[in-house]
Amino acid sequence: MNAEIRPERTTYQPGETIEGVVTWSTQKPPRRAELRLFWHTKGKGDRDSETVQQQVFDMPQQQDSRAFVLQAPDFPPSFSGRLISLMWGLELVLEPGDSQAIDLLIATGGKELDLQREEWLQIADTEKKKMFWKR
Amino acid sequence: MGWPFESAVIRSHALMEFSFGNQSGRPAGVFGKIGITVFFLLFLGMGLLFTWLIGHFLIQSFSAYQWKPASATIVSSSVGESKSSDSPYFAEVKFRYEWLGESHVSDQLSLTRQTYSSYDKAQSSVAALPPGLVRTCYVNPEDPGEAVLERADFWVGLFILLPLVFVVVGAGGIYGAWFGKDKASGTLSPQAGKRAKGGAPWVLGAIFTLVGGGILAFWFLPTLARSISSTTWDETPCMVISSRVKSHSDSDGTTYSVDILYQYSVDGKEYKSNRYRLFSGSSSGYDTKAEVVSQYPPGQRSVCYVNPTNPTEVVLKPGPGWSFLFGLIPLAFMGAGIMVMIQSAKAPRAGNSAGLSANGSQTLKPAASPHMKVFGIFLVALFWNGIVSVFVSEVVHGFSRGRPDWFLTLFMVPFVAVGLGLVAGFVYQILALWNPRCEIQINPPVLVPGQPVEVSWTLRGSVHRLQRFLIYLEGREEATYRRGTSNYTDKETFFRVPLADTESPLEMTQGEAKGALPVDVMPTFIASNNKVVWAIKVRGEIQRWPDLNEEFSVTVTGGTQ
Repeated sequence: MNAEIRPERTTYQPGETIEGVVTWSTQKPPRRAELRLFWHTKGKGDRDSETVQQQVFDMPQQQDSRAFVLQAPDFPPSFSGRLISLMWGLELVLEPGDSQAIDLLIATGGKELDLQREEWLQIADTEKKKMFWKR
Repeated sequence: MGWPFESAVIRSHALMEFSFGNQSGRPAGVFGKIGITVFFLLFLGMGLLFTWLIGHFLIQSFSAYQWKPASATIVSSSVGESKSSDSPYFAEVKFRYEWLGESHVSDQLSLTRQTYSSYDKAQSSVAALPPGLVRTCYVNPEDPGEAVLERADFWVGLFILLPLVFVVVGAGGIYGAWFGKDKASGTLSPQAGKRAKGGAPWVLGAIFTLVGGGILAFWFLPTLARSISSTTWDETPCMVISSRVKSHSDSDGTTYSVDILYQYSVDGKEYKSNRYRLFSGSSSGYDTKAEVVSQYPPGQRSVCYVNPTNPTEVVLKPGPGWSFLFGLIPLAFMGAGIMVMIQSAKAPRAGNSAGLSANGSQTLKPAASPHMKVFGIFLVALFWNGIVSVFVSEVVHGFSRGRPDWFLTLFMVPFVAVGLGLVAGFVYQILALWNPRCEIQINPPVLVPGQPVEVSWTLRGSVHRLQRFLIYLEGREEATYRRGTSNYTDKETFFRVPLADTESPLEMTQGEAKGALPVDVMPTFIASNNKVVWAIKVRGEIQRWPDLNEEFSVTVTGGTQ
């Protein structure tokens, strides 16, 4: 299968419209073709994912090209921490057959939220020790 | 006191590289589907086989419902004994009946013979059918020489559900392998409206709770009550007929039980029983059983304890004994099931509570109340030490006989250490009940980044014992992952700001903090395995006493972006 997802860009603000084109070429006409907007987690925890929007393409052909219009959700934003990162993606699913995915970034200001900031940890780690090993 | 975060510095940073940019999913190929099919065919095959076997048994058992009733007179009844090792006893009954003017005799109590491991159960069945008793029997009209006194209960038919579960799982798995959508396409994203994790944990928890609760309610608690009441049963002379250590072998190994058959009489009538205690069962450890058996050689005169309302119910040793601790296993099952159900119910859809009321103040409740902490650790300590004590008693027995089992002794050391730790934890939580209690109010109840928030606290109780008092707002990541059969959760704090830090009792008793979260903090995010949670933590140092340590969950919403 050859497939391609071409959004206008890969970074969006919450609420913005995500537009673009998908194209594919398969050996047989797909029984079903849909584009999913989804998030998934990556990191230490087991993977979580959820599809929040999808666009189904009617009567998909063996070689086809379709335009899509989706809306970037308000939540959750793309973020990255020490244990968890959350990423958005677009996935073209052709059944039976294959799928193709690309990454998106959806966050205010077009910047992934960074959870690892020193200035956000006002109480030093030594505090824990002091609390445990009392004077 | 204000929070110094009104104008948080936003550092520029590089975007994280994604790991799956422009990659293809891997569909389950034909070989994969065949593999899955073979796996589920095993389920389906075993399910169908046992459905057929149980179905055949049920049809045979229920066929007596088509037979015709007739009057029967019991000719003789006694307890029979077969060569079966596990369930040798059965009710042997002979009865006479008339059918179309002809007299017949049958010795079939029911179409499927019920056997018992304990003598008194068979005896109880026989006692209900004394010679001379007239009652209804059921005659096969096609073969009048065949008749039974008892027909199978309809609830027995529920057994068919057990193999049918396997049939459904097997057939469902095969269908899913070939016709399922997501599984077949191997996509990164689940179908819309579905999440990667479903409600399976809740169902599993419900099954554990039902099974554990059922065993607890219908077996453990009634047996425990009878065991306790057996201490008041009538002391009656008895004579040992035979005694042995019975072995039970299966794929998990060999276990042993005490099997002492003894005879006693009540109101001039002779009875027999092989029940040692009401909490009977088999376990590893031959020596302890052999020691019991050696005290009851054949011909030995001893005493047994007879239920005054039912002379067939009798024990050689009254009271529950240590073996009843094994009965706590269903309690653990039920507890684990309830915990899983609570955790599943707590796991909401991924989101950040958008739409919650953002006005007015709200009093927060602690994540776990001090009493719940005591109760929780009490249950865990009871269960753990209950199980451990069974083995410790074996160790103590060994030492008292002068034949210590050193391997078991060393093996038990870490388990006993954990048990002692749990007892210490229980004592710690009991002491913590006397700590001051903190009440937290927050306005608005849902924090919005960039918007003002008021947090106020009231501390009640023996505040003067606190040497230092701290309240802080914390944001942290929680990642749950599975390793083998266990789940682990790692936590990492990414945000912590003090709301109060004082050594003055006056400031501890009551106070408030005002401020605003930075506009670019991550809101509350809850998914099945990954969470970003926010909480107000309260800490109080008390010398030579458990610290005050409470946590209050708060929600941070998406904000005003």
